[in-house]
Amino acid sequence: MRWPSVKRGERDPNPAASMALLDEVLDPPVGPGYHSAAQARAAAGLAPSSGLNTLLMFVVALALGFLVTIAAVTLRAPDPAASATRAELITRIEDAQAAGDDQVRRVEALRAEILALEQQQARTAEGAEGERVIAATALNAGAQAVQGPGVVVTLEDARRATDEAPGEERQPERVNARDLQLVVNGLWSAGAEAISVNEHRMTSTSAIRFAGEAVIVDFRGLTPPYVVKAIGDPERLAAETSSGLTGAYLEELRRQLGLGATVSASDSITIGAAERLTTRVAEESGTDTQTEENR
Amino acid sequence: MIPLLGLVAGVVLGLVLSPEVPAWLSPYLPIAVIAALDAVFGALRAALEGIFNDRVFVISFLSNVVVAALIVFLGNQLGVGAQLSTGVVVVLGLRIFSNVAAIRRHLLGA
Repeated sequence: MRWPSVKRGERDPNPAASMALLDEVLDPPVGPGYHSAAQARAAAGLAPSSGLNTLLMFVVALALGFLVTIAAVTLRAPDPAASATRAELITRIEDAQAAGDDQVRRVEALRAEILALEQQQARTAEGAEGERVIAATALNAGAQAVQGPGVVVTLEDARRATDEAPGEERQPERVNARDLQLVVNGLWSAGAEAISVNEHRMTSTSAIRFAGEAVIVDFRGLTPPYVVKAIGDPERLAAETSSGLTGAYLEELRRQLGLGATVSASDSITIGAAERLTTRVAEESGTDTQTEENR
Repeated sequence: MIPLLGLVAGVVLGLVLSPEVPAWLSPYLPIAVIAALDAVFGALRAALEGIFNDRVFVISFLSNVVVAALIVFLGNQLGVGAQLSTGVVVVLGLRIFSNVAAIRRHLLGA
Protein backbone atom coordinates (compact mmCIF):
# COMPACT_ATOMS: atom_id res chain seq x y z
CA MET A 1 0.00 0.00 0.00
CA ARG A 2 1.29 3.40 -0.95
CA TRP A 3 0.38 6.65 0.58
CA PRO A 4 -0.37 9.40 -1.91
CA SER A 5 3.01 11.03 -2.13
CA VAL A 6 3.42 14.71 -1.57
CA LYS A 7 6.08 16.48 -3.54
CA ARG A 8 8.76 17.86 -1.37
CA GLY A 9 8.52 21.34 -2.77
CA GLU A 10 4.85 21.70 -1.97
CA ARG A 11 5.18 20.65 1.60
CA ASP A 12 4.65 23.10 4.36
CA PRO A 13 8.09 23.77 5.77
CA ASN A 14 6.60 23.91 9.24
CA PRO A 15 6.39 20.33 10.53
CA ALA A 16 3.63 21.37 12.92
CA ALA A 17 1.41 23.03 10.36
CA SER A 18 -1.65 21.92 12.23
CA MET A 19 -0.45 24.06 15.13
CA ALA A 20 -0.80 27.20 13.03
CA LEU A 21 -4.24 27.93 14.40
CA LEU A 22 -3.04 27.59 17.99
CA ASP A 23 0.01 29.71 17.21
CA GLU A 24 -2.15 32.40 15.77
CA VAL A 25 -4.39 32.38 18.81
CA LEU A 26 -1.50 32.45 21.29
CA ASP A 27 0.83 34.79 19.44
CA PRO A 28 -1.08 36.58 16.71
CA PRO A 29 0.77 38.81 14.30
CA VAL A 30 0.08 42.49 14.57
CA GLY A 31 -3.02 43.40 12.55
CA PRO A 32 -2.29 42.79 8.85
CA GLY A 33 -3.79 46.17 8.05
CA TYR A 34 -0.86 47.91 9.71
CA HIS A 35 1.67 45.98 7.63
CA SER A 36 0.04 46.69 4.28
CA ALA A 37 -0.51 50.35 5.19
CA ALA A 38 3.15 50.66 6.19
CA GLN A 39 4.23 49.04 2.91
CA ALA A 40 1.99 51.39 0.93
CA ARG A 41 3.45 54.40 2.73
CA ALA A 42 6.97 53.11 2.16
CA ALA A 43 6.19 52.65 -1.53
CA ALA A 44 4.94 56.24 -1.68
CA GLY A 45 8.21 57.39 -0.19
CA LEU A 46 6.89 58.26 3.28
CA ALA A 47 7.87 57.03 6.72
CA PRO A 48 6.19 53.69 7.51
CA SER A 49 4.44 55.13 10.55
CA SER A 50 1.96 57.97 10.23
CA GLY A 51 2.72 59.06 13.78
CA LEU A 52 0.35 59.48 16.67
CA ASN A 53 -0.15 63.22 16.63
CA THR A 54 -2.85 63.62 14.03
CA LEU A 55 -6.31 65.14 14.14
CA LEU A 56 -7.86 61.74 13.48
CA MET A 57 -6.14 60.36 16.57
CA PHE A 58 -7.57 63.20 18.65
CA VAL A 59 -11.09 62.37 17.49
CA VAL A 60 -10.70 58.64 18.11
CA ALA A 61 -9.16 59.18 21.53
CA LEU A 62 -12.02 61.52 22.37
CA ALA A 63 -14.53 58.85 21.35
CA LEU A 64 -12.63 56.20 23.31
CA GLY A 65 -12.50 58.24 26.51
CA PHE A 66 -16.17 59.13 26.15
CA LEU A 67 -17.17 55.50 25.58
CA VAL A 68 -15.18 54.15 28.51
CA THR A 69 -16.44 56.88 30.83
CA ILE A 70 -20.12 56.45 30.07
CA ALA A 71 -19.71 52.67 30.29
CA ALA A 72 -18.11 53.00 33.71
CA VAL A 73 -20.70 55.51 34.94
CA THR A 74 -23.65 53.53 33.60
CA LEU A 75 -22.57 50.07 34.69
CA ARG A 76 -21.29 51.03 38.11
CA ALA A 77 -24.35 53.02 39.16
CA PRO A 78 -26.06 51.23 42.05
CA ASP A 79 -29.77 50.63 41.82
CA PRO A 80 -31.17 53.16 44.33
CA ALA A 81 -34.61 51.57 44.56
CA ALA A 82 -33.25 48.11 45.34
CA SER A 83 -30.83 49.33 48.00
CA ALA A 84 -33.54 51.43 49.66
CA THR A 85 -35.86 48.42 49.78
CA ARG A 86 -33.09 46.27 51.20
CA ALA A 87 -32.29 48.80 53.90
CA GLU A 88 -35.96 49.04 54.84
CA LEU A 89 -36.29 45.25 55.03
CA ILE A 90 -33.20 45.07 57.22
CA THR A 91 -34.64 47.63 59.66
CA ARG A 92 -37.95 45.77 59.75
CA ILE A 93 -36.21 42.46 60.46
CA GLU A 94 -34.13 44.03 63.19
CA ASP A 95 -37.20 45.66 64.75
CA ALA A 96 -39.07 42.36 64.71
CA GLN A 97 -36.11 40.57 66.25
CA ALA A 98 -35.82 43.17 69.00
CA ALA A 99 -39.56 42.87 69.71
CA GLY A 100 -39.23 39.08 69.80
CA ASP A 101 -36.30 39.27 72.21
CA ASP A 102 -38.31 41.60 74.45
CA GLN A 103 -41.19 39.13 74.51
CA VAL A 104 -38.82 36.26 75.32
CA ARG A 105 -37.41 38.22 78.23
CA ARG A 106 -40.91 39.02 79.42
CA VAL A 107 -41.90 35.34 79.23
CA GLU A 108 -38.88 34.39 81.28
CA ALA A 109 -39.58 37.05 83.88
CA LEU A 110 -43.25 36.07 84.15
CA ARG A 111 -42.40 32.38 84.37
CA ALA A 112 -39.95 33.06 87.17
CA GLU A 113 -42.67 35.08 88.90
CA ILE A 114 -45.17 32.23 88.51
CA LEU A 115 -42.71 29.76 89.96
CA ALA A 116 -41.97 32.03 92.90
CA LEU A 117 -45.68 32.57 93.57
CA GLU A 118 -46.43 28.85 93.33
CA GLN A 119 -43.64 28.05 95.71
CA GLN A 120 -44.78 30.76 98.07
CA GLN A 121 -48.32 29.39 98.05
CA ALA A 122 -47.10 25.84 98.46
CA ARG A 123 -44.92 26.90 101.36
CA THR A 124 -47.82 28.44 103.20
CA ALA A 125 -50.23 25.64 102.33
CA GLU A 126 -48.15 22.50 102.50
CA GLY A 127 -44.80 23.52 103.82
CA ALA A 128 -41.39 22.66 102.38
CA GLU A 129 -42.61 19.36 100.95
CA GLY A 130 -44.98 21.10 98.53
CA GLU A 131 -42.24 23.46 97.38
CA ARG A 132 -39.98 20.54 96.62
CA VAL A 133 -42.69 18.72 94.66
CA ILE A 134 -43.34 21.80 92.49
CA ALA A 135 -39.66 22.27 91.79
CA ALA A 136 -39.23 18.61 90.83
CA THR A 137 -42.32 18.70 88.60
CA ALA A 138 -41.09 21.85 86.86
CA LEU A 139 -37.76 20.13 86.25
CA ASN A 140 -39.42 17.07 84.73
CA ALA A 141 -41.84 19.08 82.63
CA GLY A 142 -39.06 21.13 81.16
CA ALA A 143 -40.08 24.46 82.64
CA GLN A 144 -36.63 25.14 84.02
CA ALA A 145 -33.21 25.28 82.48
CA VAL A 146 -31.12 22.38 83.70
CA GLN A 147 -27.45 21.55 83.80
CA GLY A 148 -25.51 18.35 84.23
CA PRO A 149 -23.32 15.70 82.62
CA GLY A 150 -24.43 13.97 79.47
CA VAL A 151 -23.74 13.42 75.79
CA VAL A 152 -24.01 15.53 72.65
CA VAL A 153 -24.97 13.77 69.40
CA THR A 154 -24.39 15.77 66.21
CA LEU A 155 -26.01 14.69 62.96
CA GLU A 156 -25.01 16.25 59.66
CA ASP A 157 -26.11 15.83 56.05
CA ALA A 158 -23.76 13.82 53.84
CA ARG A 159 -21.18 15.85 51.94
CA ARG A 160 -21.22 13.68 48.80
CA ALA A 161 -23.79 11.44 47.23
CA THR A 162 -23.06 7.76 47.77
CA ASP A 163 -23.02 5.14 45.00
CA GLU A 164 -23.04 7.78 42.33
CA ALA A 165 -22.71 6.28 38.88
CA PRO A 166 -20.72 8.33 36.35
CA GLY A 167 -22.86 10.94 34.68
CA GLU A 168 -25.64 10.45 37.20
CA GLU A 169 -26.73 13.34 39.36
CA ARG A 170 -27.73 12.38 42.86
CA GLN A 171 -28.41 14.53 45.85
CA PRO A 172 -26.32 13.77 48.93
CA GLU A 173 -28.21 11.93 51.65
CA ARG A 174 -29.89 14.10 54.26
CA VAL A 175 -30.72 13.62 57.89
CA ASN A 176 -34.45 13.07 58.24
CA ALA A 177 -36.91 13.24 61.10
CA ARG A 178 -36.85 9.46 61.60
CA ASP A 179 -33.12 9.56 62.37
CA LEU A 180 -33.66 12.30 64.93
CA GLN A 181 -36.66 10.50 66.43
CA LEU A 182 -34.63 7.31 66.83
CA VAL A 183 -31.76 9.12 68.47
CA VAL A 184 -34.02 11.05 70.86
CA ASN A 185 -36.07 7.97 71.76
CA GLY A 186 -32.91 5.95 72.28
CA LEU A 187 -31.59 8.62 74.65
CA TRP A 188 -34.88 8.70 76.59
CA SER A 189 -34.80 4.92 76.91
CA ALA A 190 -31.24 5.11 78.20
CA GLY A 191 -32.44 7.26 81.05
CA ALA A 192 -31.88 10.77 79.76
CA GLU A 193 -33.52 13.32 82.01
CA ALA A 194 -33.56 16.28 79.65
CA ILE A 195 -33.04 16.44 75.90
CA SER A 196 -32.82 19.34 73.48
CA VAL A 197 -32.59 19.31 69.69
CA ASN A 198 -30.86 22.44 68.34
CA GLU A 199 -31.70 24.16 71.66
CA HIS A 200 -35.38 23.16 71.51
CA ARG A 201 -36.20 21.39 74.75
CA MET A 202 -38.02 18.11 74.26
CA THR A 203 -41.06 17.84 76.50
CA SER A 204 -43.90 15.37 76.77
CA THR A 205 -45.76 17.19 73.97
CA SER A 206 -42.79 17.73 71.64
CA ALA A 207 -42.96 16.36 68.12
CA ILE A 208 -40.21 15.78 65.58
CA ARG A 209 -41.75 15.83 62.14
CA PHE A 210 -40.74 15.93 58.52
CA ALA A 211 -42.23 18.45 56.12
CA GLY A 212 -40.89 18.39 52.60
CA GLU A 213 -37.16 18.46 53.08
CA ALA A 214 -37.14 20.20 56.43
CA VAL A 215 -37.00 18.67 59.88
CA ILE A 216 -39.58 20.33 62.13
CA VAL A 217 -39.35 20.27 65.90
CA ASP A 218 -42.23 21.84 67.81
CA PHE A 219 -43.40 23.61 64.63
CA ARG A 220 -40.01 25.22 64.06
CA GLY A 221 -37.94 24.28 61.03
CA LEU A 222 -34.39 23.28 61.86
CA THR A 223 -31.25 23.50 59.77
CA PRO A 224 -28.33 21.08 59.91
CA PRO A 225 -26.19 20.29 61.79
CA TYR A 226 -28.69 18.81 64.24
CA VAL A 227 -27.29 18.88 67.76
CA VAL A 228 -29.03 16.59 70.23
CA LYS A 229 -28.02 17.31 73.82
CA ALA A 230 -29.01 14.90 76.54
CA ILE A 231 -28.44 15.10 80.29
CA GLY A 232 -28.39 11.86 82.21
CA ASP A 233 -26.10 9.17 83.53
CA PRO A 234 -23.10 9.72 81.24
CA GLU A 235 -22.06 6.08 81.26
CA ARG A 236 -25.47 4.75 80.26
CA LEU A 237 -25.94 7.43 77.61
CA ALA A 238 -22.47 6.80 76.18
CA ALA A 239 -23.11 3.04 76.12
CA GLU A 240 -26.44 3.53 74.33
CA THR A 241 -24.93 5.83 71.70
CA SER A 242 -21.85 3.69 71.08
CA SER A 243 -22.78 0.01 71.43
CA GLY A 244 -26.53 0.12 72.02
CA LEU A 245 -29.34 0.23 69.48
CA THR A 246 -28.83 3.95 68.85
CA GLY A 247 -25.11 3.42 68.43
CA ALA A 248 -25.70 0.70 65.85
CA TYR A 249 -28.13 2.94 63.99
CA LEU A 250 -25.67 5.87 63.97
CA GLU A 251 -22.94 3.56 62.71
CA GLU A 252 -25.25 2.45 59.91
CA LEU A 253 -25.96 6.09 58.97
CA ARG A 254 -22.24 6.81 58.86
CA ARG A 255 -21.29 3.76 56.85
CA GLN A 256 -24.20 3.29 54.45
CA LEU A 257 -25.36 6.84 53.81
CA GLY A 258 -22.26 8.90 54.59
CA LEU A 259 -24.06 11.10 57.10
CA GLY A 260 -21.96 12.84 59.71
CA ALA A 261 -22.81 11.40 63.13
CA THR A 262 -20.59 12.21 66.08
CA VAL A 263 -21.09 11.55 69.78
CA SER A 264 -19.20 13.35 72.51
CA ALA A 265 -19.57 13.09 76.25
CA SER A 266 -19.49 16.24 78.33
CA ASP A 267 -19.32 16.94 82.05
CA SER A 268 -21.47 20.00 81.91
CA ILE A 269 -24.33 20.51 79.48
CA THR A 270 -26.87 23.28 79.84
CA ILE A 271 -30.34 22.78 78.40
CA GLY A 272 -32.74 25.70 78.36
CA ALA A 273 -36.39 25.69 79.38
CA ALA A 274 -39.07 24.67 76.92
CA GLU A 275 -40.68 27.46 74.93
CA ARG A 276 -44.24 26.17 75.12
CA LEU A 277 -45.56 24.30 78.12
CA THR A 278 -49.29 24.84 77.92
CA THR A 279 -51.84 22.34 76.71
CA ARG A 280 -54.41 23.29 74.12
CA VAL A 281 -57.18 20.79 74.82
CA ALA A 282 -56.40 19.06 78.07
CA GLU A 283 -57.67 20.69 81.25
CA GLU A 284 -56.92 20.11 84.87
CA SER A 285 -59.33 17.45 86.12
CA GLY A 286 -61.68 18.25 88.99
CA THR A 287 -61.71 21.99 88.39
CA ASP A 288 -63.35 24.09 85.76
CA THR A 289 -60.99 27.00 86.09
CA GLN A 290 -58.86 27.77 83.11
CA THR A 291 -55.50 29.33 83.21
CA GLU A 292 -54.99 32.34 81.05
CA GLU A 293 -52.71 30.45 78.71
CA ASN A 294 -54.87 27.49 77.72
CA ARG A 295 -58.02 29.28 76.74
CA MET B 1 0.47 63.98 23.21
CA ILE B 2 -2.54 64.75 21.05
CA PRO B 3 -4.21 61.35 21.64
CA LEU B 4 -3.69 61.81 25.39
CA LEU B 5 -5.39 65.21 25.22
CA GLY B 6 -8.25 63.64 23.30
CA LEU B 7 -8.58 60.90 25.89
CA VAL B 8 -8.71 63.37 28.77
CA ALA B 9 -11.20 65.52 26.89
CA GLY B 10 -13.37 62.46 26.24
CA VAL B 11 -13.34 61.43 29.90
CA VAL B 12 -14.20 64.96 31.01
CA LEU B 13 -16.95 65.16 28.41
CA GLY B 14 -18.38 61.86 29.56
CA LEU B 15 -18.32 62.93 33.21
CA VAL B 16 -19.80 66.37 32.53
CA LEU B 17 -22.51 65.26 30.15
CA SER B 18 -23.03 61.83 31.78
CA PRO B 19 -25.65 60.97 29.17
CA GLU B 20 -28.51 58.67 30.04
CA VAL B 21 -27.80 55.40 28.24
CA PRO B 22 -31.06 53.89 26.96
CA ALA B 23 -31.82 50.47 28.38
CA TRP B 24 -31.64 48.67 25.05
CA LEU B 25 -28.08 49.89 24.56
CA SER B 26 -26.67 48.86 27.93
CA PRO B 27 -25.92 45.18 27.06
CA TYR B 28 -23.65 46.39 24.26
CA LEU B 29 -21.58 48.77 26.41
CA PRO B 30 -19.23 46.27 28.08
CA ILE B 31 -18.65 44.42 24.81
CA ALA B 32 -17.97 47.70 23.02
CA VAL B 33 -15.46 48.71 25.68
CA ILE B 34 -13.60 45.41 25.40
CA ALA B 35 -13.58 45.62 21.60
CA ALA B 36 -12.22 49.17 21.83
CA LEU B 37 -9.52 48.00 24.26
CA ASP B 38 -8.52 45.30 21.78
CA ALA B 39 -8.09 47.90 19.05
CA VAL B 40 -6.09 50.13 21.41
CA PHE B 41 -3.66 47.39 22.38
CA GLY B 42 -3.26 46.37 18.74
CA ALA B 43 -2.45 49.99 17.89
CA LEU B 44 0.00 50.28 20.78
CA ARG B 45 1.82 47.20 19.53
CA ALA B 46 1.92 48.56 15.97
CA ALA B 47 3.24 51.88 17.27
CA LEU B 48 6.04 50.09 19.14
CA GLU B 49 6.90 48.17 15.98
CA GLY B 50 7.04 51.45 14.09
CA ILE B 51 4.26 50.73 11.63
CA PHE B 52 1.39 52.58 13.26
CA ASN B 53 -1.17 54.11 10.92
CA ASP B 54 -3.98 56.31 12.16
CA ARG B 55 -6.44 55.35 9.44
CA VAL B 56 -5.96 51.63 10.08
CA PHE B 57 -6.45 52.27 13.79
CA VAL B 58 -9.69 54.19 13.27
CA ILE B 59 -11.05 51.51 10.98
CA SER B 60 -10.08 48.67 13.32
CA PHE B 61 -11.54 50.56 16.30
CA LEU B 62 -14.87 51.21 14.60
CA SER B 63 -15.15 47.79 13.00
CA ASN B 64 -14.30 46.04 16.28
CA VAL B 65 -16.98 47.92 18.17
CA VAL B 66 -19.59 47.52 15.44
CA VAL B 67 -18.91 43.82 14.84
CA ALA B 68 -18.89 43.01 18.57
CA ALA B 69 -22.20 44.84 19.02
CA LEU B 70 -23.61 43.09 15.96
CA ILE B 71 -22.65 39.67 17.29
CA VAL B 72 -24.30 40.40 20.64
CA PHE B 73 -27.38 41.75 18.87
CA LEU B 74 -27.60 38.65 16.71
CA GLY B 75 -27.16 36.46 19.77
CA ASN B 76 -29.96 38.28 21.57
CA GLN B 77 -32.26 37.83 18.60
CA LEU B 78 -31.42 34.10 18.42
CA GLY B 79 -31.75 33.59 22.17
CA VAL B 80 -28.07 32.78 22.72
CA GLY B 81 -26.98 36.31 23.67
CA ALA B 82 -25.19 35.28 26.85
CA GLN B 83 -23.19 32.54 25.13
CA LEU B 84 -22.20 34.71 22.19
CA SER B 85 -21.22 37.56 24.54
CA THR B 86 -19.00 35.11 26.40
CA GLY B 87 -17.48 33.98 23.11
CA VAL B 88 -16.73 37.56 22.08
CA VAL B 89 -15.19 38.32 25.46
CA VAL B 90 -13.02 35.20 25.32
CA VAL B 91 -11.72 35.90 21.81
CA LEU B 92 -11.05 39.58 22.47
CA GLY B 93 -9.53 38.73 25.85
CA LEU B 94 -7.09 36.30 24.20
CA ARG B 95 -6.12 38.93 21.65
CA ILE B 96 -5.62 41.57 24.32
CA PHE B 97 -3.42 39.23 26.34
CA SER B 98 -1.23 38.27 23.40
CA ASN B 99 -0.91 41.89 22.29
CA VAL B 100 0.05 42.89 25.82
CA ALA B 101 2.65 40.11 25.79
CA ALA B 102 4.11 41.52 22.55
CA ILE B 103 4.09 45.05 24.01
CA ARG B 104 5.85 43.73 27.10
CA ARG B 105 8.52 42.12 24.94
CA HIS B 106 9.07 45.45 23.19
CA LEU B 107 9.18 47.55 26.32
CA LEU B 108 10.90 45.27 28.83
CA GLY B 109 12.58 42.78 26.53
CA ALA B 110 11.03 39.92 28.50
